[in-house]
Amino acid sequence: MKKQIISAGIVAALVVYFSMTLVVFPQEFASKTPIEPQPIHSISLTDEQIKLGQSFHIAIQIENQNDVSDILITSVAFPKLEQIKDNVEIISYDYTQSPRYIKAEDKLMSEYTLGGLVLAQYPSIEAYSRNVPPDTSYQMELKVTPNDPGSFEVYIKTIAIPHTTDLSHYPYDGMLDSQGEYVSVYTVQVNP
Amino acid sequence: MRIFSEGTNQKLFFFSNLVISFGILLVTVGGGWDITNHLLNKPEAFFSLPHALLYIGVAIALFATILMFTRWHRLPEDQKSSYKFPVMLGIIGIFVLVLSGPLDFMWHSSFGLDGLLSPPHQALLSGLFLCTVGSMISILRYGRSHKGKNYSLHHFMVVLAILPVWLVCTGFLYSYSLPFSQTEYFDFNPEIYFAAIFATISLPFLSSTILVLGSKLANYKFGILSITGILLLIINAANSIVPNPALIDTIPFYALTVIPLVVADTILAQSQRKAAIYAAGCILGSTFFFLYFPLITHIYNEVIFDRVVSGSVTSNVYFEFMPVVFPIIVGPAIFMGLIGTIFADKVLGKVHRKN
Repeated sequence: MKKQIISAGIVAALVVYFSMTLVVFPQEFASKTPIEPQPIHSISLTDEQIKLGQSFHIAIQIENQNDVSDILITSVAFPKLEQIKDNVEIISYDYTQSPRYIKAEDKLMSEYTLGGLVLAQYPSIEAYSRNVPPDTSYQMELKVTPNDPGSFEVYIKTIAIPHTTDLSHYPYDGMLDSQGEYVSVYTVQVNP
Repeated sequence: MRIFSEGTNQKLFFFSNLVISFGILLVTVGGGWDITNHLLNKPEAFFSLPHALLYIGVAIALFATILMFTRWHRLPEDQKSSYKFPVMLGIIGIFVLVLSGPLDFMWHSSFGLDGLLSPPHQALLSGLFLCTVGSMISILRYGRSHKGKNYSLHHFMVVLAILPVWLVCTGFLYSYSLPFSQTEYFDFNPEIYFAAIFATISLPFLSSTILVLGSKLANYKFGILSITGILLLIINAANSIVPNPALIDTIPFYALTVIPLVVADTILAQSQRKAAIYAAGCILGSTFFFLYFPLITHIYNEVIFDRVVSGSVTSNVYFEFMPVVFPIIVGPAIFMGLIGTIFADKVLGKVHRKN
């Protein structure tokens, strides 16, 4: 009799266990609204026109809104440059992680992590912070010295991970870059 | 000159092995915490709290190994030969372990952040494995005469002897299955299908082997298997769940894993027939998918979704792929749990050999 009671108890415990872990908890977690970090950025450039050999500064301020972001990335790309180490200097920076220098041909995520890896078409700097609570701001200032005369473009975008909605990146629309992601385009005229 | 009596010397030898196990336990806890710290915060410096805990553990194990070796030298000849093999394992292990510290630092200095699967980490894990297996054998051989019906301290020492072995082996298996080994200089990430198959085979095998072995070593006394499993759940929760605020909600789900542990423990305490032992192994094998949450998410995500699994979406991804993954892996997991019980028998024989 004792053995039968124990056996019944074992079966009941396993039924409860697998029902809870395979049915009840997954349903409960599936019904939860996913978090939605919403980054925005504001950019200012010191000059709209410069002479060749002169530099201009870019001031970037980003803020995470709404929900916590596991990773907040700001990308500043320079489609007119072949490499950036001699042309771009980080003047100030308060993101939590060290910036990454991306070279052309480096592998990058695309379409806000959904599009797989693509090769970078031009160099960029990725600034990023981890575990960013809502209403937290970071800033970065860059000094840029273009190589050639003409129109010098800078592409800037900010992306929050997890990227759960169309508000998890900034800007929300505009031009798509080589990663299939929207960028704010800034132009400085470099005169000979 | 004889400072301690024979009995005291023997107790000190036993005690030093317990301290080695404790030291290794600290190392594995520090290592697990370090993985989570890398996932959530990506520290860029070598010096961090998890690394500090890890190297405190190494220091404890080192001093305890020196004590163990000096006491072993003064054991009577018959006992000395009985403990020779585990003592040698411990000496080689601590040598490898201590060397892996500077190697790790040099690697960080040369190549920056290293991944989970890297030469210094493999050296560290190898040293830990040898040390912890050495101390486990010594502790178990010391306590093998305690086979009475009542519970004794030696039954509970089984837990301290095998828990670090479990954690170290898990570290080894994780390093060949988790996709955490791609760095700026090297990509040691395992191939994704290999990783998923490897985890499905090895993790249930390991948990079943360790837990059934623990129960056998404690003469199938109820509680030893459960305590060992619950301690692993607590360590894993403290290392991988609690530091991530987004996973706090999953603690009740994770705590449910106590149920199959207690069930398997009850089965083994009630009957030691082969069928009962196999049944316990199958149950333990089938629960590995829950036992190794949340890190296991990263292994199967690579095959099923290939999403970026950042801290706050870990549980979403895990519960989303559960209905797809669990039906596929449960069969192999049950089978490997059964195989684990057979392997536990072989290990038991080795542990109780004279030398």
